[in-house]
Amino acid sequence: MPVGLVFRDCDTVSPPLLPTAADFAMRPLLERQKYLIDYTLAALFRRKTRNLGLLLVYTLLVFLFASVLLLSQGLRREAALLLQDAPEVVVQKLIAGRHDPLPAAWLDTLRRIRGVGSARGRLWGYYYDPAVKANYTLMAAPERGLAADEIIVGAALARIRQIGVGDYLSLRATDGRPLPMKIIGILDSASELLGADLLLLSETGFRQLFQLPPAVYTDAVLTVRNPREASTVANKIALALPASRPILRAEILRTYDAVFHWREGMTFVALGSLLLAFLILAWDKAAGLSAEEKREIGILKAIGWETGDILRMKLWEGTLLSLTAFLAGYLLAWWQVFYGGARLFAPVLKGWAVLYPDFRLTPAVDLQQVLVLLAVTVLPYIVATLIPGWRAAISDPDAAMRG
Amino acid sequence: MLITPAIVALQLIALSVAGTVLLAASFAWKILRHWNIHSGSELQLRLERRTYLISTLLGFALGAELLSLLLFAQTAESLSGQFVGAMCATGVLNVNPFGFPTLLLKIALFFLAALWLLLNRVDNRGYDYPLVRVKYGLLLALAPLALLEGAVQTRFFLGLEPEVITSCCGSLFSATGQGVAAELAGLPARPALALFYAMAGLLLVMGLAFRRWPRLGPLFAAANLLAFAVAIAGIVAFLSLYVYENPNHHCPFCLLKAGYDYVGYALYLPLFAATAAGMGAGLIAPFRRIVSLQAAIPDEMRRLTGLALVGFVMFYGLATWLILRSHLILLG
Amino acid sequence: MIELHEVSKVFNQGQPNECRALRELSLRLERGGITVFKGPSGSGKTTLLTLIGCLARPTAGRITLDGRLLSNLPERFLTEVRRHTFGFVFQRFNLLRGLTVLENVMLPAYPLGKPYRELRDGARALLDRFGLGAKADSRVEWLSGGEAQRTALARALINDPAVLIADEPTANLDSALSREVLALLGELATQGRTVLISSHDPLVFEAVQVDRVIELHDGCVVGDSRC
Repeated sequence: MPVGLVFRDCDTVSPPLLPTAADFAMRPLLERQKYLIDYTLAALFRRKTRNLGLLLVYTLLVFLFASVLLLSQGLRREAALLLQDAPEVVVQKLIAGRHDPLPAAWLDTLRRIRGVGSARGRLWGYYYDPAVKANYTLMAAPERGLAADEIIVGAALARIRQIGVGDYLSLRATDGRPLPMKIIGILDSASELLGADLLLLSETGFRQLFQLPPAVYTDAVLTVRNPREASTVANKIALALPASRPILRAEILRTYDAVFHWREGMTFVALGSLLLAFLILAWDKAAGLSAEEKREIGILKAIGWETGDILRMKLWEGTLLSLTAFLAGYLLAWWQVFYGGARLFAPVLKGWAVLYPDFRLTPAVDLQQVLVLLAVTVLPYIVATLIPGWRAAISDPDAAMRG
Repeated sequence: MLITPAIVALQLIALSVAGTVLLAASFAWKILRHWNIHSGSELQLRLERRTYLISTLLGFALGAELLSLLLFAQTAESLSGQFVGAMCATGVLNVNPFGFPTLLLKIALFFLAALWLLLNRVDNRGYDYPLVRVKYGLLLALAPLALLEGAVQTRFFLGLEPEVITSCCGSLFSATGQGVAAELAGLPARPALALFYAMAGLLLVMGLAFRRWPRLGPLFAAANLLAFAVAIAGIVAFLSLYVYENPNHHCPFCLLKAGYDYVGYALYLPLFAATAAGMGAGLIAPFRRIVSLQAAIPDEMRRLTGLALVGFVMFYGLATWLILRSHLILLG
Repeated sequence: MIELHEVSKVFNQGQPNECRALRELSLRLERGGITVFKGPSGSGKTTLLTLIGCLARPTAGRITLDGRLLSNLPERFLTEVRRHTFGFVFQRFNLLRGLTVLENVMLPAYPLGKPYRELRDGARALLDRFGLGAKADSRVEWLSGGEAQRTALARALINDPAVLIADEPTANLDSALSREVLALLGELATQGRTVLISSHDPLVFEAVQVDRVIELHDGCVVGDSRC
């Protein structure tokens, strides 16, 4: 039974005194939210200086977390791309648990194992250059048809030694003899992350440099006819050559993945203290309402805003701030990582290396990444401001009257 | 244990959900002890104002739980590369016995929080807060569940030992790990398909009956829960096969991947919403005789059953379309 | 019709600074006309108005509006009643700085979610009626005292309330402006609205427009005269 108002203009239709079901159902919810957003925006702009500081810190926080995520994801993708072309199985020889040159005769044994497509010996190793205090990765590249004194170098290496095509690079052989090598090419930087410190030379050149006998290789790479059989093949190799260690590409990928995940995770934990500091700031800002703001909320409640309306307004305030900070921080991080060279976290995430490759990652968005970012930045902010927001909302409606 | 950003994030969510729900429960306890709607005392006023905080906290928990559910599935998926034999999220959840319980607890908490908010919404429409005791009683039951979720999830992550090559040991994990992959067996396709559509019919009949006889509410709620379970079973048993066009891939999580046009979201979102709405409609029905809710409850019941209907129609419609579109022939 | 039955309001109950603002006060207010509550400061006028206007709940006693019991309603529902039934004019105008006159007037209607155009047109019509049409888009900080008071009045009327509650409406105005405000309130009363005023300004309770004067002292009614 709707209770009409007795005392009001007789010519106007009086609404029911107490809200009815229809009142709730028909209330244009969207319109109401629009008004609330409108008011909240105006309120935020009226207190520009107060909110700007928080917004900046918030943006910085999102930026830092997003940088870590975007960079490490980019690195992982890059590594996966590189490993796509890597051999399915690598076989090493072990002596006393240490890596030892592999006799060429093994290659025939390997080829005879059922399921193995091809087996090829590889020559590669590291070379320490005291001039720049860096390790180069040396690799024999028979497919390039290099002469014994010709080499091709990675871009970062060329940069740091300030050498180019036609220059000579002198390497010290194992017996101390200097070996002048002519640079006839520089690797393009498309896959620079792993190829930056690479130095390609001929098999003869490699054996000369390290004084290796002719019938050994560093390791062997195999192709497998059916990739799903890789682990079975590896088992057979281990049986046929007990001193061998077969390594599957899948395992390398997994290791890369784990290492990057772990580094990312640790960086996140390290950033946790920053998050905590931000939360304290957010709590403080939300709890410390100015006298002016308190007065405003009091007035709003007195003129007919309900506690829920104020609470929603406060939630909108948080949402608008969060959204702005999130977008700004994410875009900044995006720019930093994909176009700015990712200077910030590269040392932590890429690991040790003297020669930092100058590479560009391929931009990409990932839903999981966005969810993680939301969970570590926006969610804690909401938690920190829930109670202060509620405290503000429950101020007495009669405060405006009591002045 | 693995530490990845996603795991850090999930633990953070679990912590904040447990924290907010516990806080809400402690307030609920005070309210249950001191509530007296007929009192104009300042204590009562304070308690009434606390109710706003509690519903806000629960609303937060609901949102966080949804985020957590999505992230959990995504994370399990992304970790699958690190576990030998784990082809997708299902495999990762099977790495130790805490994976699936975590997922189930998350789903349970999501539904309970949604139900609580519905109950709260209805209660707020009665001028004398008629459901205060029911509502806060339920909240007290919800709190331990949130704690349990946090604990089980932590156990799950602690038990994740990735198998990676280390420099001192090059043994073959892959060979020994063979067969660990435990795909959900699923039901045989034909009876599952029949059950799937029979459930739709049953639900429709139950819904019509419920409209006519509101006292069937709890039964209708149970039917919704059952329909949810059947729908999930259907996804695992045959719908996923149709989508992947592969007679052996039963994973309910791969549906969420870009490779399948994110079709999982279009399936799960209406399904979850419809189940929550349907259960809510059924469970509030017993309160329709309360004087202050006589107008509100039928109104909400109508709206919620409508919502459930729309949600289930969307779900079944999409599922049917996916089956018809597929090139896979399961039923020869 | 509003009825108060043995209404008491105690602040800081049970604490050393406990304060009884109203003591078992009973009162009947009919619809229409202007009623003035007079009395010294601390007599409970403002507290009484906050209880009638659903801004607060009594500690004890019953308040009914058209026979419907209000005193035990939770705040949520009191707000609903307040929005639709009461308009408020405060002692210090209480306009929100930084917003325009128009926005201030529209503010009480925001939670109702009316279509924007309808609301804006309603607010403009009210401002025109009070001679503030030209000021609609200027900030409230720039208003004179009289303009601010009329803006506050327009804001109180935006939701078309049946009852207008004005707490010391002339406290910050000179006598010419006070008369102007009283004339406006009188006009509203003749249109059928109920106007409730608290004041200790003789200019108010001696004005010709006033229909009833209720005198309060220490939270009790000590005088009730109809003019």
